Amino acid sequence: MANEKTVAMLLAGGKGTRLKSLTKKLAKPAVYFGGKYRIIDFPLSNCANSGIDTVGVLTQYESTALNTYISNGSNWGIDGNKSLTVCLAPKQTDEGASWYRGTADAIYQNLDFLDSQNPDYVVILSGDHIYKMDYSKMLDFHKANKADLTVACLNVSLEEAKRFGIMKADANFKIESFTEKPKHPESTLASMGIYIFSYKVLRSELIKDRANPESENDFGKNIIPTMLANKKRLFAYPFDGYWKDVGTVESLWSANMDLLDDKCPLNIYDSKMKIFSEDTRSTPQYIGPNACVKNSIINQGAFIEGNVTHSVIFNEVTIEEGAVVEDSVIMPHTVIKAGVHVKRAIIGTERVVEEDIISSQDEEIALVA
Amino acid sequence: MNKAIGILNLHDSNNLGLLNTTRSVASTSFLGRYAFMDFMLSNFSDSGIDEMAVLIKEHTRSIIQHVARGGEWTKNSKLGGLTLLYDEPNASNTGYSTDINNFKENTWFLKQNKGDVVVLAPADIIYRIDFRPLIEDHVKNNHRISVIVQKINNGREAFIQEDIAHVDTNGFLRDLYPNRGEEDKITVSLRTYIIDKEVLYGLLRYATKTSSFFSLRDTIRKLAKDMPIYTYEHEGYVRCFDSLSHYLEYSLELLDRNVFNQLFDNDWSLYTKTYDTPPAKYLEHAEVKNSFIANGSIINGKVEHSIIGRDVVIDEGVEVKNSVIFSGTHISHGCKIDGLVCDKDAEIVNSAEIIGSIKDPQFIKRGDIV
Repeated sequence: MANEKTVAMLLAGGKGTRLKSLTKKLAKPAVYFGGKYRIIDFPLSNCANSGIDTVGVLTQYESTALNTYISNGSNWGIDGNKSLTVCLAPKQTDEGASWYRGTADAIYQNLDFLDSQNPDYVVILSGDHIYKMDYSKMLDFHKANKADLTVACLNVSLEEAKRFGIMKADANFKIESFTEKPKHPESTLASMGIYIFSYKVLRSELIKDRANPESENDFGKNIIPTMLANKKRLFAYPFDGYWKDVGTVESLWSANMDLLDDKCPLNIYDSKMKIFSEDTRSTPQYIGPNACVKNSIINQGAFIEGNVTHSVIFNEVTIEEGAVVEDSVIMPHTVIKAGVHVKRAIIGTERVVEEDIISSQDEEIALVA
Repeated sequence: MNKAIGILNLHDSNNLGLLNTTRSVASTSFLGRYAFMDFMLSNFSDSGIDEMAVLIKEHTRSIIQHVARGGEWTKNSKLGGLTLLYDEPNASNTGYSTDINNFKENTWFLKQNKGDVVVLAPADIIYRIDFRPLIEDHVKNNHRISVIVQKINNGREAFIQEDIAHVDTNGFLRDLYPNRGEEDKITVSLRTYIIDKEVLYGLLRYATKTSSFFSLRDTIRKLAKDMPIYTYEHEGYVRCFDSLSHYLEYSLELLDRNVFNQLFDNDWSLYTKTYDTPPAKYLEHAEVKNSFIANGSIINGKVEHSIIGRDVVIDEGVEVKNSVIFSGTHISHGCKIDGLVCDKDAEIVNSAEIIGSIKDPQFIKRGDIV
């Protein structure tokens, strides 16, 4: 079929409570990552790099800041005559008004938008994960299998498996069973929360699910088990690249540290698959005469006069002379004053750090935000 | 506020020697992040001018590439904008390739725009200015033509061949003639003019009657003695980028925070094109001191008193001092570099040493392997 249409729906409404004060005024997808990015830059750049030209971003918690950031999608190039990025916050309609109650409900409430786009396929993504992935390959897999639904999955440890939707698949990747957060996992094949649906199937499943008062309107808990029970064609798409859920302070910190590891498979320096982001009007990054910078990444606009080791430094950060920053993430517009020692910490935006912030190896990562 | 048209004039520009064989100063990289034209276009933009044009003399490709969207410099993407004006018939005809002839070829631009006042400014003289109070004063006092001038203390060395301005006690220009480097304390023209649109038409007619080779600068020089031309004195950072060695010297000078703060200010939104490069990465053996490092660079060697552009790779054992390295260059095999301007996408892989000086820099051409 010529010109098949694919629309991506990006779930970005969550608060991310376990990121503590980092998400006090900011939705989790808008949290800063990797010296210049926000978490949501990764799935949006993946869409751009996968040739997806229509993206709906479903926002809810602190939606203003996120909607402003997404704007018309121009940061990711999805804003031309042949492409569209639109933020879809909950709205009042003829049927009333309600918040998005679950992942499936969020999509259900935007069926009008999907109908207007009339896609053949819908890619459902989450705004919470750091990874690079070419969704077009997953779509080819979906089509080759004549699947109703394809779920991207990766192998996790048995212990981690308890936190994920876990599936069992046959030798042809056909999914046989699916359990959300199992107490006793029978497999380690975990759902990454990335789904490709054939739209007609998605539409009818969402309408059926909505009619069921018992349902929590969630893809993992309701839609997928129901489809399996009804003998729909569900396939598991194996992914073996870097993928990290940065849902906690600890995991956000360690994903940032991963960028400093040359062996880490997540390569943000690969110009063939760039991660796009907002352009800050920063001055060039300055490293002073007495500064020492090693094993770190530093963004434009930073002003470094102290010592930075194994850290991630965002734009417009000032590190004064004699300050020592190690194993830390310093977010935009923050100042580390002269002589201050910061170790194993995440410092949020627009802070002035005047005293030492240090956590030891056996302690939780220190957070100032 | 009076509606003004901002015109970046790339005619009568200096050049930076070997850096400008395929591009003009306007689109040459500066501080690893900007193009020279960003500075004056941002001055226009921050002065609330949203009708802008670039009078292009040559090297159109690099200009178009830099400003392709144009929307970066204007507040509203439908009202106002950035227009490129090019004098196709005279482009390859040295004598005729003047700003006056370019204007005549493109008079539709002036006619079409609502502004009554035109601000003409160069890309190779860098300074920061808010044109608003000047335009207001110019209109209020019915000055018709005004020139921005500045007092400098190093006229033997800087602004050579630029115009010295003789200004009378009432602030009017009495004479304008080239600086031959005979005196240090001089007042120079910043080649920036505020002109009533109707008067500009008159200048075009006057120039045409005088000589088909006449430039705007020639015309104003000739009129300086006979016509009341007002001057506004600018103070603060100003540099005229007129040679490869001045390019290196003035770029490195901005590593001094005191100089940097004279030009840059948090209130000034300096716009430029984004390339979506990741943050700079420093590896185990990086030793970087007193330098600007652009995004996308991967540094594992020594860098001192230098400016490193986007996506530059500096391997372990390499030492770079007093140099400007343009984007995409790779330096390896322990090369020692001092006083070098290295154009884009070069590979320094087979040299042990490249030694120049700030006064007499070495140069590596775009894409060359050395």
